[in-house]
Amino acid sequence: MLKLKEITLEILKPSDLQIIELLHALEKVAGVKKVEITLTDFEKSTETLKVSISGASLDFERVSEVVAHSGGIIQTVQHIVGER
Amino acid sequence: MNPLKKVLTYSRYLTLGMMDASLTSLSVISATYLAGITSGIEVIRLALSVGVGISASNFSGAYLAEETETIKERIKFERAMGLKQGQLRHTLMEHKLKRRARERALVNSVSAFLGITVATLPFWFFPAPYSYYYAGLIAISIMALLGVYLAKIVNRNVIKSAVKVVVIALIVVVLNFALSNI
Repeated sequence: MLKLKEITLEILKPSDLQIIELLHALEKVAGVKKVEITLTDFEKSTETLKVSISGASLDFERVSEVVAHSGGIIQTVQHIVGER
Repeated sequence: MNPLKKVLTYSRYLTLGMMDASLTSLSVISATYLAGITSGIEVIRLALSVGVGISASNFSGAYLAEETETIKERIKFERAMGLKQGQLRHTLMEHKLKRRARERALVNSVSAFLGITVATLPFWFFPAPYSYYYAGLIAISIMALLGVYLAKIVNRNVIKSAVKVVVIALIVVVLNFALSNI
């Protein structure tokens, strides 16, 4: 089975949740080696982010849980890389 | 963030708490002076019990108001994100808003208690009537400093702002003396 090495997500989050807080929440997920976050759009109360996560073996479910627990929602999975 | 810097970010609650403390201290000082109390420890006891009441009132008042704001804020974000009501409950964002509410309430409460404690310090060291004069002076000075602090935040004239709050303090003293004649 392929191991999940990279994922790129489009996340919608409340503007009160800072990008750095989301980064610190994601870095705690087991297997995560690198997190890259770019602000792609913002409105009065919300911000859209492009979040790229890479690591030796990522747990997508756990990443989704952490995003939801932070207060964000995954809108789309834009890119995904699996490797043996 | 440095705890002192964090307290200063809650300047509205710090100011409200200190303002409550100074005005309440002036009322306690005026009332005990007019009642002819010469025992410093009696004045301190009275001021501290009033301080506890004001602190509790400030904490609960600020917390309840902030908690309502937290819920309003959460609902605003849920609507903006197209979520169902309550979907952002128990999230990091909500924890952050709640922590901010608790911290603001604490600043409002502790600043009030500290203000009263500081204003009544002369009663530990000086006999009446000097303790009354010094305590009044400290309470009015705290008010003046608050005026300066508020003016500095918004880049306004510090003297004008200090005079404005000192006038409020003097009105409280005059009202206390006027009420004693009823």
